[in-house]
Amino acid sequence: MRRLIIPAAACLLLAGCTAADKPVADASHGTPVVLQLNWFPEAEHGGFYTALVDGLDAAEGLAVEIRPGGRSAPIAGELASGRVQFAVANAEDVVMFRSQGADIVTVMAACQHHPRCLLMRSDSGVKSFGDLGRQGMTLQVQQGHAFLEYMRAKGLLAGVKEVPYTGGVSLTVRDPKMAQQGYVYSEPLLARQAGVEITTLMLSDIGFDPYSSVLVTTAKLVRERPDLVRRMVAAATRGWQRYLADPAATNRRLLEVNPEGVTAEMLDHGVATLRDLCLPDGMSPERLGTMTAARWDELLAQMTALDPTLAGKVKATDCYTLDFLPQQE
Amino acid sequence: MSRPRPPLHRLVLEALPALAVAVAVVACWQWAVGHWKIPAYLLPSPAQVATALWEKRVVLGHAFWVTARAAVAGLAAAAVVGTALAILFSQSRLVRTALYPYVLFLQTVPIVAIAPLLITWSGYGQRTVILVSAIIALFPILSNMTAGLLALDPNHRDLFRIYRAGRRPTLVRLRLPTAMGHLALGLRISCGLAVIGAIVGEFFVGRGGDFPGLGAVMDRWLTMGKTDALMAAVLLSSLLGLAMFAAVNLLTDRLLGKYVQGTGD
Repeated sequence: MRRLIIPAAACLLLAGCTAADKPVADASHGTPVVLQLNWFPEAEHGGFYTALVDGLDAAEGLAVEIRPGGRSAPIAGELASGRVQFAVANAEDVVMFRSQGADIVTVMAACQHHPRCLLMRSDSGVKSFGDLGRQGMTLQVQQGHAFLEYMRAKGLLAGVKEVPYTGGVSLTVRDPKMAQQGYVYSEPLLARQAGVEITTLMLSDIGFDPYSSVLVTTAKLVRERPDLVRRMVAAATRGWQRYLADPAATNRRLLEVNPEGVTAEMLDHGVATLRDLCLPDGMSPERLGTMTAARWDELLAQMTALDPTLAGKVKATDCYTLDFLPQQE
Repeated sequence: MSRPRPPLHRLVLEALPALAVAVAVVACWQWAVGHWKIPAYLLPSPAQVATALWEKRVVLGHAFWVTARAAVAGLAAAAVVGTALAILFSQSRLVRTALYPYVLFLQTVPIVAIAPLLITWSGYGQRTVILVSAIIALFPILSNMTAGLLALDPNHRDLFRIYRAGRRPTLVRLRLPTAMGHLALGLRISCGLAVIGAIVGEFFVGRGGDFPGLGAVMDRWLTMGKTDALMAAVLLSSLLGLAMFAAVNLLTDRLLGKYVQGTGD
């Protein structure tokens, strides 16, 4: 019996080492590409999954593996090391990465508007951002996010007690004096499912509205393999167009890869909200993914006003490229 | 009997090898970052960490003292509660066998799972940070002290029995002095845990008072990707742990020195 212990222990160890997640790649031929997500797979990544599931990546000759992120997805490090070629982020993250010295570039922006919101119970009496301080609310937020400093600079956090946000909606649901950060298609639905009336306040309504669910890569890849980037952008854009029109198959895949984190109802609600965020004001689906210099200039101006050290470190024009997107009329 | 303190130049000579290792590590680190062109957000160079330490010295200075006060309070609370429970356990085998499993439970339950519960019961404030610190620091003190109170030399125990000494005198004059060495050991192990507990508490509670503690600033800089400032804060956390260890050693030598008979240097 004792002679079996060491081999048995070795087998257990090795079994642990090789139990890697099966990569979600359908095509076994085509250029291998890895896409790193910035969170667990949710509706905000839907279009990228559609490109995979519907064979749009394979049609461009790409064998894409999508890697889920989590609480701390090391986008900058993964891109810099070359372990992944593309990643999903938000525009304000790109500015932050560049300010740390990472040469990251946005090539396509799936969502024209940002889903960042605050949510609280409707019986808290809060109807606008100004009410947060007046009602003496406690706000669960992650310190260091740009939207928080934006609110602080506008004086909206005076009289508000800030506490750490560590996930979920349980504290907000139980306490009418508690508010929290969230994304408009996730946390509010979770809270409503818990049986309370919820008020949401969109950050975009007070002027903080970076692009979201943007596809990023390294400037090096754009220089050295522009055709690869062009094909990835084309597949992703078509993926998003299709996801917004017909999400059923993709939502089934999202449920498979993130069974603990999403429900079918959440994903349906997510898609409905994303349609307004990605194609606002009757924007035509052909224009999905496009960006303008003006929006990036505005974001840099806002973030530099909050942190003057950015002025020397980040230029708006370095954060993005329009080369792979359909031309403006 | 505590040992006589060695002369100062001997102390310095003994510290030299450790200092030499520190210098060598820092030099290799600086060279590696330059040679492999490691970006700052992955691994800042020692120079960048030192710069961040200087630039953020006011914030870090306040943070150090906020976390230090919480950790000291947590260690003190753990010491008081641990000693009281250990005395209780030493007096009754029934109580010991009934309650010890639950003490073990407290040791094994992951603090990140119960921290939100603690906040619900105790609110967002320094008190909750100290509570988290005390819970994490409790077990080594309790288990060492219990072992010490029960580890009687049979000859001494028989002597007390011959003289028909009651429960109280046995406790005060025999068990407690025997256990002091174990208490010192428990305190030394727990002081590092108290620092960890204070920092973890701050991750969940945030700013508990006028200034954020080391845990709160680390959380903020982690979100912002400021790895150089983050490493400076981590460095200060280690220094806090070391400082508490030195202070606990000094205190136990002074106060408990005459009871410690070869139970550790």
